[in-house]
Parts: sequence; structure tokens; C-alpha cells
Amino acid sequence: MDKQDALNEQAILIIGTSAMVLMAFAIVFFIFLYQRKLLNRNLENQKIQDLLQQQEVQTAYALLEGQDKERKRIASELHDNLGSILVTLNMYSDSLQTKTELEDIKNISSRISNVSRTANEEVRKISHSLDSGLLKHFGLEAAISQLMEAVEMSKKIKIELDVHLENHIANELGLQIYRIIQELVNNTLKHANCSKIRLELNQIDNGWSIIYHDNGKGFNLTEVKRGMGLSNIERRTDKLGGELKMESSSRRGSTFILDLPRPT
Amino acid sequence: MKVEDIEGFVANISVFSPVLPLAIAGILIARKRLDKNMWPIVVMLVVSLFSDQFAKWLAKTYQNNMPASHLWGFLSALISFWFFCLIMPKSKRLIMVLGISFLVLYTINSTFNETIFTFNAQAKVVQGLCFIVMAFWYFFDVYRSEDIPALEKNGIFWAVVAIFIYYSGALFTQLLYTRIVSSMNGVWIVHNLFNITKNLLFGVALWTSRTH
Repeated sequence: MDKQDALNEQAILIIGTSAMVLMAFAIVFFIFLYQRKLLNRNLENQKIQDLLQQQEVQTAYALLEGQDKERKRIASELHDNLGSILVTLNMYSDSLQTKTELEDIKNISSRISNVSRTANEEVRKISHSLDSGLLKHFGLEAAISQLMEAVEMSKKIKIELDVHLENHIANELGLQIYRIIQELVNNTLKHANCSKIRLELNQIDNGWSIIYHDNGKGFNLTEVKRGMGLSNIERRTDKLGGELKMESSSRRGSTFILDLPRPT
Repeated sequence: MKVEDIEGFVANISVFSPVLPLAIAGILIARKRLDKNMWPIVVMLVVSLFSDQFAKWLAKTYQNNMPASHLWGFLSALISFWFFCLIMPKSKRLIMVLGISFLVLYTINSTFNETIFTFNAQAKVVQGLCFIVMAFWYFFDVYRSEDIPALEKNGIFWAVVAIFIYYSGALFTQLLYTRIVSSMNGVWIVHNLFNITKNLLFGVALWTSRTH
């Protein structure tokens, strides 16, 4: 019996010690797994940052290229249309100086008047094309389209984009709006784990309205730590004198509604 | 060296093992750097020290020290539930319901089933399982939320590890107790080793969680 007891005691001690060592290994393994998960998350965030930066550089290049093409087009129109009209005007002016007969002077003056009217019409057309469509909001609308396109292609997220801008947006305001949308997208990619993003940017009577929605896992508005992303959005909205409303739940995702007034 | 001698030596270390972490707690309290979530751990260390001393005194005076064991079981469960309520606020209500239910059943068990002069192995097994599950719940929460940037520097994590290790060890010894009564020495050496480990980890938890 004593021998049996001694054996039992040894067995208990060995099993007990082994259990402790096993638990120690399990805890170390858990810490290792957790740190690896954090590292993967940081790498993923870095990829998102790189994607957004790359897309911004591409947008900048596309914008410069677009502006360059537009300038060439305008230069070509100025040279071909207005240039030839001014040459004709110059010829009539030179010719006027050599005429002495009243009838000839009246004739050439009338032609100068007609050509000047034509030149005025051409300047009006060129000015109108400068002020219209493409160049007016080439920056903001194109930048937003390119951003959303990049997200859709690389992150396999369905994008619904609805942008309606009628009048010109000043560069600084356009840039602030773009940065707000960029932060919203950034937050979604990092935290939401969603399959769909919807963005509406509309011009309203007194300014602009942005409605951004993702169908992700949402967040607790009172408990979430105000990271740089949310703080930046709030700060930019305040700076523009706008209002920001947030709604978020695990079932319905997150919705951000921004109302930005027209600058006075 | 006989197993009985080793058992006595380890038991003495185990009884006084809360002293070091309590010293750390004392320094942190004096410097007002104790994390508020660590108060249940400090209370548990104090209760552990006094209940072990009380049990030892009862044993030395040849009195049945099972009442001390029952009391320690009740108080350690109460304090552990309090701690989990603090560190898992989202699940606070559920933990409170669980805690109150367990403590009521524990009291009923101590009164009518495994009375206070007998070793309440069944209650201790249930208690062990309960807190092992709570610890796993916490670990799962941490893994999913990714809120803690450096796990090894987080005091609460080490405190939960300590609770996990202690109750795992307690479960092991309680399961064995009813089977191998004649070989109590080996069982209690293992139990005391788990207790010493728990208290050392509590010391680590207190130190790493100090506020700045």
C-alpha cells in the first residue's frame, strides 16, 4: 500500500507539474497568436493607406493631364479661331490707314465692325467652354470617382456613387470635402468590414449635402475611442461651418450625414 | 527528503505567498498609482492571506479547518465575480446574474449538502469550471476586439491568467481529492504550487497595471 501511495504521489506530482507547464505554453502561444493578429491588422491598415496614397497620386496625375489637355485645346481654339480673326482685323486696320476715299473708309470700317463682332462672339464661346462642365468640377467629381473606383477594384466592395454638382466649388472647399470623404472611406476600410458603400454628394440651396453609408459592423457612438479619423472629420466639418450627424448600429451599419454651407 | 516534508515546506511558502504582491500593492497605493480595476485583486490577496493563516491555526490547534475552506471559496468567488464585472463591462449584468446564482447555490450546498465541516469538493469543482469559462470568455473577448496593443504589458490580462491557472489547478486537485484521499500530500503540493503561481502572477499584474 505504501509503495502504491508513493507511486500515486509521484504520478500526481508529475501530472500536476506537466499541467502547469502545459498551461504556461498555452498562455505564451495565446500571446503569440494575438500579437500576430495585431501585426496582420497593422499590415492591412498600411496596405489601405498605401492604396489611398497611390490613388491620390494617380488622381493628381490624371488631374494635371486633364488640365494640360484642356489648356492645349483652348490654346488651339484661340490660335485657330480667334487668331485668324485678329489677323483679318489687323489687315483691315492696316488697309484703312491707306484709304482716302470716304466710301472706301466706310466700307472697311463696316468690315472691321463685323470682324470685331465675330471676335467678340468667339471670345464669348471660348469663355463659356472654360467655365462649363469639364474644368469646373473636374477636380472634385473626378477625384471622388477615382477614389471610389480604386476601392471597388482592390477591396471588392460594391460602390454606389451619386454626385450632383451644378456650380463651381472653390479649390479649398473641394479639397476639404475630398479629405472628409477620404477619411470616411479610410475608417470603413479599417474597421467596418462591409460589402457596400453608398456616397451621395448633392448641391442644395444653401450649400452641399454629403450622405455616406456603409453596411459594416457599425460602432458604439458613445463608447468608441475618438481615433484620428473621426476627429479629423469632425474638425474639418466644424472648420467649414457644417453639421455632422452619425448613426451606427451592428445591424444597419454606419451612416454619416454632413451639411456644408456655401461660404459667404 | 520525504513528500511530507516537501508538502510542509511548499504549504508554508503558499500561505505567505500573498505577502510579496501585497507589498507591491501597498507601494502602488501609497504612490496613488494603483489601477482601480485591480482593487478586487488586492482584496483577494488580503482575504487569501488571512484565510490561509486562519486555516493553518485551526489545523495546528487540531480543529476542523473546513469552515475556513468554505469561507475562502465563497469570498474568492465573490471577489472574482466582482473583478470580471469590472473588466468586462459590456457583460456586467450577465456576470452579476451568474455570480448571484452561484453564490446562492454555494451557500445552499454548504448548508444542506456538503456542510461546513466537510470538504466541499463538488462546489469547488463547479467553482473551478465557472471561472475557467469566465477566463476563456475574457481571452476570447480580447482576441476578438484587438483593443490591447501589448498584451504582455497589460495587468488585467495577467490577473485573468492568474485566476485561470489557480482555478485550473484547484479543479485538478478537487477532482483528484475524492479519488485519492490516501495520497493527500501529492495533491496539496500541486494545489499549493498553483496558489504560489497565482499570487506571483497577481504581483506581475499589479506592477504592470500601475498608472502613470
